[in-house]
Amino acid sequence: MQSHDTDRHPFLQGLSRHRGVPPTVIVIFGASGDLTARKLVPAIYNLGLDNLLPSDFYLIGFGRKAIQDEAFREMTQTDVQKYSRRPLHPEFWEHLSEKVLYHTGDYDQVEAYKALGERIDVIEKNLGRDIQLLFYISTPPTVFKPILENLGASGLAARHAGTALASKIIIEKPFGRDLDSAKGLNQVLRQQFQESQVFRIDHYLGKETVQDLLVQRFSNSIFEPIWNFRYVDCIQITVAEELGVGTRGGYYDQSGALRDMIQNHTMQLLSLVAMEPPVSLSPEDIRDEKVKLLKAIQPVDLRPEGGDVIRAHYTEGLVSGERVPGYTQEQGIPADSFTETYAAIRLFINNWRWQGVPIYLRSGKRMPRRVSEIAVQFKQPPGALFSDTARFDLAPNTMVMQIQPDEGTTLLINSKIPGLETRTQPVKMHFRYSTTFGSNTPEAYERLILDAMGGDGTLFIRGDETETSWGIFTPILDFWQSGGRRGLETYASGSWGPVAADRLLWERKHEWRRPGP
Amino acid sequence: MDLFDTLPGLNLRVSEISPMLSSMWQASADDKRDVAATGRASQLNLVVHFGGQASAEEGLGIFNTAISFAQSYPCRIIVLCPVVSVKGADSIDAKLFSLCYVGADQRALCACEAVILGYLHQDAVHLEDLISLWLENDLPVYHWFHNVSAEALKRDVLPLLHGCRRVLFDSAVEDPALKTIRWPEPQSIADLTRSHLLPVRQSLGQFLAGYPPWQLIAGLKKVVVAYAPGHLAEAESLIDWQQKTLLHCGAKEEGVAAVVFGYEPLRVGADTSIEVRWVYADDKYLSWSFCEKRTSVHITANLGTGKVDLAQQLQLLSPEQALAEALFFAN
Repeated sequence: MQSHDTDRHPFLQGLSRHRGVPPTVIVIFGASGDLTARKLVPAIYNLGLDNLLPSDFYLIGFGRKAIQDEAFREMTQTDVQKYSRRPLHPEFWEHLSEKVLYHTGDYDQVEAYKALGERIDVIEKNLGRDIQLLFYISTPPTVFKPILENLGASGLAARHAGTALASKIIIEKPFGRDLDSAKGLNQVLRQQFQESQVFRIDHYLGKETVQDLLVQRFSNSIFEPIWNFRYVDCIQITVAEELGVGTRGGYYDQSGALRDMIQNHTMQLLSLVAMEPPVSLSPEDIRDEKVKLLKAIQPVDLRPEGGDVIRAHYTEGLVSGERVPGYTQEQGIPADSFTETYAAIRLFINNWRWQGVPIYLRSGKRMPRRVSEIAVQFKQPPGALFSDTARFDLAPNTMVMQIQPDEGTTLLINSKIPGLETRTQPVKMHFRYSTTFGSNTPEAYERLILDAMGGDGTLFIRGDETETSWGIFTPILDFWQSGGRRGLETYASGSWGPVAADRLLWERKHEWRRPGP
Repeated sequence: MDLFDTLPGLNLRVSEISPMLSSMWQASADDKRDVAATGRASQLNLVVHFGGQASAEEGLGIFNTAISFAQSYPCRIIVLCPVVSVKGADSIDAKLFSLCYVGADQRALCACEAVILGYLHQDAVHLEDLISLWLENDLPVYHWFHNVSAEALKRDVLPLLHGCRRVLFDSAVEDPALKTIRWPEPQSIADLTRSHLLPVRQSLGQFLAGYPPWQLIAGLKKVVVAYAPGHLAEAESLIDWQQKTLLHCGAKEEGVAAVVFGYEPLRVGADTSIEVRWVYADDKYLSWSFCEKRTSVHITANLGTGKVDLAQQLQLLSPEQALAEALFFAN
């Protein structure tokens, strides 16, 4: 029997935490935006379909566009039809959509927030009970500040403070664009909310493989003893996209690969793969370890020759057989832009476990395929038994955790080719979520929204994590900014990045992986 | 026709099962590729035991549930059916069922296989060794009983349960004497009826969690679950859950040990399936009713902070969802 969880109401005992989330109103700022349509509304719908929403649940879209409740319901229905992983279930939707509302208001007008509060008062009165508010900020970062300030000024942020129904807020990246702005954002957040109320979302953390990282590392006794500098040769983390900047050129040119991908997604992956075992699975213990790991990362060597950083942007090329334009030919990109669409970085972690092990991070657009993976490459075995390279084609043992598109883990080992003579060949041992667990895996946003409703911050980023991470990358951004185009490499669309990036690895006799299916 | 004959599958000799299992997903006899590896990735074993009293219709329903479950959680299924007489050349009749399931996308692509055995009562002693030929080794084994008498279970099946991950039965259909059996590992026993009711416990639990425990038990006199025909096991399960949970609300200290817990049939003509009623010494009350047909719940209550009248949507777990819940998540 499960032990009695004394923190929870007796009538929630025995239900998983995800089935006991309190009554909630989710208010989405940026309700007519792309993220809401593609991810948030389908996620909420699928949670409901799985009976995981609280019985008293409301969704309120907040936006500047004047939209009637009924029109917003139709919009959200279309979103579900277009983007949900499961088809629209008319009866269920009819029930859920009764609780879908829209509130028109300017982000910088406190009256709009007060009026929202009055609508929520009516909901609470009709229900006869208090209800928690979960604000989802899905807007451009330029309006983060007025939204946060007005949530405070209107009293919405402080609603039911000090209770389990205290307001909560989910905030989408970017969490600043450098260390100073990250500190500024955190300061505004902390003026209105306690850290325990803030859920900085990185959807990578909601993916099954990413959650499985902790399970694989710490629930198996075979990995941990070799998960260190004695056995690991290097770690490579790749976040590659096939797409170019598309219609997001204006935004992307102000951002770049380092800000858009490396500083957040790849660093989250690195934290989880390299951190020390946490004392417990509580959110704070896990996040403490992640921060400790980030703090142990050595400052990056910025020298143009022999340094740790490479940046580049894509030129014309072929992706999946189709000719595509170069970055500076894309819509909204100035011809003299020096924004990187590719960044590769070599890091070292200055602690007992990882001393001297190079960590290679790379992320780029217009690469041959969309893939995100972590590869832990182990050292070659000692001795001369299989050292005759002509006879024995030995590959380094590599454990690959593929985050997307096909989540799973692969272990590469050397094996004998059947026959009278001893010849070897690397072979793969695969575990794929899709074949092992079929279609049971929920989308990342489903898991994360549910966790936030339940107040569980394990899979969210804490304020000090963002600041520590920005502390590593801000010097690089400043260096690039001051150098203009100097040191900016190029790579053909459809390639795995600039040749210069190979140098980062050659120096230690490593090579970039070519992630395959 | 007995249950074994009703279940789908290709009749085989027992000795043909293993070779067939290893070659059945090859496109042709010369095809040496490991075709199965891409679509089949069994990570658990499910052994279904039918009792002599299981009807063909029930058996087919259970079998279909197991196959639906396997489409989400690929597993090796072994079905054991007692028969009165064997029809084949061996002492044990055998069938092999296979299904290539293709869902809407690649995530829902898998191969399902079930080995079905028809055995005589006197050969039950051989089952443990026999099924070990087909169980995926090193992976968890789950046993699911349906309509197996307590006597047959003790005699034939208990030896098979050693080291298994979980043992399932459905209190709605099983011999009540099953509850008195000394299971080798009692913590591994799970009741499908309880799992099936998860959404009910969730609905009631979420509602009641809005009130402080002391407020729920103050003045509580009676807890009644009323049930539609065929739902007695659900009523028993719900009463058991409420009784245990109320004890955690401080029941003993507040004298709630004297609360009367009971269940009764629903009044004739009621369109609900299950009702839960709490009666208090004062004007507090709780009435929770579920209509399975309309998948709706109606709650009316006054638990000390004013009257509440709520309607909710509620759907019980499907049989395969209840199976997954009981196997992996129930406690």
